[in-house]
Parts: sequence; C-alpha cells; structure tokens
Amino acid sequence: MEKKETLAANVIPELMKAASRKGEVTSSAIVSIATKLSIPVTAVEQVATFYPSLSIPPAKHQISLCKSLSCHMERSSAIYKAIKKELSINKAGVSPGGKFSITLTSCLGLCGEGPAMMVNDKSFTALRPAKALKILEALK
Amino acid sequence: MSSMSPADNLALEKALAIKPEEIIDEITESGLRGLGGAGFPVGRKWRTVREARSDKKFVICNAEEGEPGTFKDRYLIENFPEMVIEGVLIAMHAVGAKQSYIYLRREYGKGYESLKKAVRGFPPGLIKKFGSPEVTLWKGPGGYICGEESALIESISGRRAEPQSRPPYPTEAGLFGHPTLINNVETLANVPLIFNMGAEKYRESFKKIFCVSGDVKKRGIYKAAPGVTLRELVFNHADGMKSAKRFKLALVGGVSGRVFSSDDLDLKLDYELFGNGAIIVLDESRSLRDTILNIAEFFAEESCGKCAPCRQGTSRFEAILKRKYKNKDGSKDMEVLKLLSTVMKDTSLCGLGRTATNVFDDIVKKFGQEVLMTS
Repeated sequence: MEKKETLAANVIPELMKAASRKGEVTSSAIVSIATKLSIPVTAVEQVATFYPSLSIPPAKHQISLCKSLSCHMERSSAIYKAIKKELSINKAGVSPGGKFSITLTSCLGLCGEGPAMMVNDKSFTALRPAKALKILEALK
Repeated sequence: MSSMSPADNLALEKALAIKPEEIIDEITESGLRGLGGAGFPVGRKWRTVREARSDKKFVICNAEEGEPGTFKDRYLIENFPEMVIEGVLIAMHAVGAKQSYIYLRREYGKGYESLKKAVRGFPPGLIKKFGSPEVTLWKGPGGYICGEESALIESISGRRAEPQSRPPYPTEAGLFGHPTLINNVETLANVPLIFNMGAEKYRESFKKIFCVSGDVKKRGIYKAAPGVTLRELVFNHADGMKSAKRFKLALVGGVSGRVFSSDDLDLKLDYELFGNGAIIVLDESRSLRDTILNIAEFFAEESCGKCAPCRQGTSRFEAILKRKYKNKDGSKDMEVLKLLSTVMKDTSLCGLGRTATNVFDDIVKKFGQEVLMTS
C-alpha cells in the first residue's frame, strides 16, 4: 500500500521535469508518466491541471511578473503593458517565434525590492518599464 | 544577523548529547512559537509527534512562502541555509523521524541551491551520529494553498494541493498516513539558536523577523522583539514614509492579515497580532478600492476550488469589485460583499477562505464602507 503511495508521489516531480523540458505539460507526457508510475491517466491529468506553474505557455524565455499587492503598488502593471507592447505578445501570452512568454503571477517573495519578475530561474527587481525592456532585449 | 550563524554545528552537538525528551523540554522552555503565522507552541507540537505511536514519522519544513508581503523565508534559506537544516535535523532527532522534506516553492531556485550546498557541508561523521537521516529538498510547483499544511501534504503525496478536514491532524496522521511535524522555515531556523545560547538566554533575546514593504523609505527585513510597535517598525526601522504623504494604514500579516490605522501605531505587536511578520504600508494617496480589488483577485486565483464558500465567494467578491456598482453609491453591493464575507469566514474549509476578506472587513470597520464606494 505504502510503496504504491510513494510511487504515486513522484507524479509532481515527473510533471515538473516534463514542464521544464517542453515549457508545458503535453498530453503525451501525461500518458507516459501514468504508465511509468502505474497510475490512471486521469490521476496525472487532475494534478497537472491543478498547478498553474505546470501550464505556463512554452517559450525560450518564460517571464513571470509579480502582480501581488506590494509589486502592484510599485506599478507592475505598467511594466506588463510595456513588455506586451514591445515584444508583440499575443493573446496566448507568447511573442512571435515563441521566444518569450509572459505570465502575471502571484507573490514571488521579493516584496522588499519590487516590482519584481523572474525570467526562467533568474529574478530581477526594482524594475521600471525601461529597465525591464533592457533586460529582455539582452536575451533576444 | 551575523549573530545567527551556527557556531561550528555546536547546536547539533549539544542536541545530540541529550535525550530527545530533553530536547523537547528545552524547546518548551525557550518559549518558541510557530513563526509562520499561527503562533502554536513549538514544544507542544513536537511532543505530540514524539508521543505518537508509529514505526515511521516525518518532519516537513514549510518553505512555501506565498503570502504577499512576506519574504523572510527566502532570506533565511538563501543566507542561513545551515541553520534551517540544523533545525530540521534537531527536530527529526527529537520526534524520532528518519525522513524529512523541505517543501520549497518553484521560484526559490537560488534557495534550493544554497540548501543543497548546506546539506553537503555538514561533517559526515556528525550526520552519522544522528542516524544518517534523510533530508529531501522538494521543489514543488508552488501556489499559495500549498503553504496550508494539509494541502502541502497532499502535494508531496502527488495529489492536488487541496486542504483536508481535521481531525486527524498531521501530527497524528500526516504524510502517507504517518505522524508528521510541520514547521515553518523561520521556526526551524530558530532551533539551533536555542541550543547555542541556552533556552533562558534565548527567550530573553528572541527577535522576530518583520518584512516591511510598500510606501516606506527603506523596505526590507527587520528584526525586533515581540511587543515592538508598528510606529517603531515603520518610522525607525524602515526610516518612515517614502514621500511627504502621510501614513494611512498597514496590512499586518500580509493580504490575509489585519488592518492597522494610524490609531493603532502604538499597539504592541505580539504573537496574536504580528501574524507571519509581513507589513505592507500604504500612504494616504492609495485607493482602498484598488487595494481591495487587488487582494480579491489574488484570492480568487489562489482558491483551490475544493469547497463552495471559498470557490464561489472569492470569485463573486472579485467580480463585484471589478464591475461598476449596481446603484449609484454602491451601497447595495456593499451589503452583498459583507454578507459574502461572513459566509466565507464561517463556512470555508481552510484558512484561505476564512481570511480572504479580513482586510475588507477591517477597512469597512475602521474607515467606513464609503471609502470603497467610489473608485
């Protein structure tokens, strides 16, 4: 019983691996995880759809911009608008060619230095629209 | 903060030299309480897990710091990872757990690396003396609800992070059904200090970490003894307001916390009041409707959707604040919001739904609902 439970516990690490490879969890990844862990496909699917970070639009550079209160007060929305415009982000939140994706996210734990964003695993703080664009320009 | 660095694993040596029961006595004696917001006596929690009958027990360090306005756990993990690990090891030894997890949010990649380095840095001989415990750094997919302890357990178990009704409490039946001790990062980072300086001296010198953000001159991390006032934190530690605009209010405990107006500046911040130690300061120019809307959006998005009062309540709350009010002065909508808030508080399954409207309630109480009626 417990062995089966601990095996099923691997579903989230597996999903996170799949997401970091592809940028989002594909349906074929869900099936192969289910097979690997001998659990139903739906059991994997309901976990995959629960956590927003597992369905970030795939892109080379994934931008997560904080919109929670402390960053909101520092006008993170102006940065969001500037990035969307400058990088021609479409409705799905992705730039042409899939170079950048942008998601507004909940608190990143950088409230003392906001507004803050993360690009892939790196955090950037004390942003202003021009500063944010310069950071992204360097990644192009 | 340099006084916080561990002195050559002295705390570990000291804890090893005494019986697990004596470790728990020492923790109880120190007066340490949970610093993640709940303030539960740590010694009592450890004792419950110690006394639980099971061949297997777990310790979990809760590093899913998600409350807007809180950044102390990130700071501790990145700068003092050894202390966190030491706290985990002592807790495991005290409660009789061979396995532990540090549940980190996805965004704390830098903290993950420093913890990893810290784990490797402990002398193998010393670790062996502890019975070679297993410490797993568990990088979760993140989400506010994952910080709720029963949801966190669900998440490690490979399920949706949905809170469970209690009892049984995790201390009785937690991870994989076994007794589980869950403590916050700051709580565990304090444990080595207790053994380094002794319970009595520790109790006298204890300082809580406060995270100050918003409209102050110097945002950041400040340490102060419980009983410190908001005035001291805002006007001394954080050097006062950022501009000439006056102090309007502070959210103490983050967006699920309580509202302090200028009348409350001299209240002593004790365990019952400081919550997790987050302080978001707003000056007089801030729109309170915009603030409430931002908070409502946050909870609507972070509600896990398991129970109806929270799922429906948070999304209705957001929808009403987002649109134009129905009658001219908004009084009809205000009545609905107040009613929703009461229902959510009384009937939600977990703390998320029960605290989502704290700031709304306090603003209505302290400033009058009129401040929310015009945009």
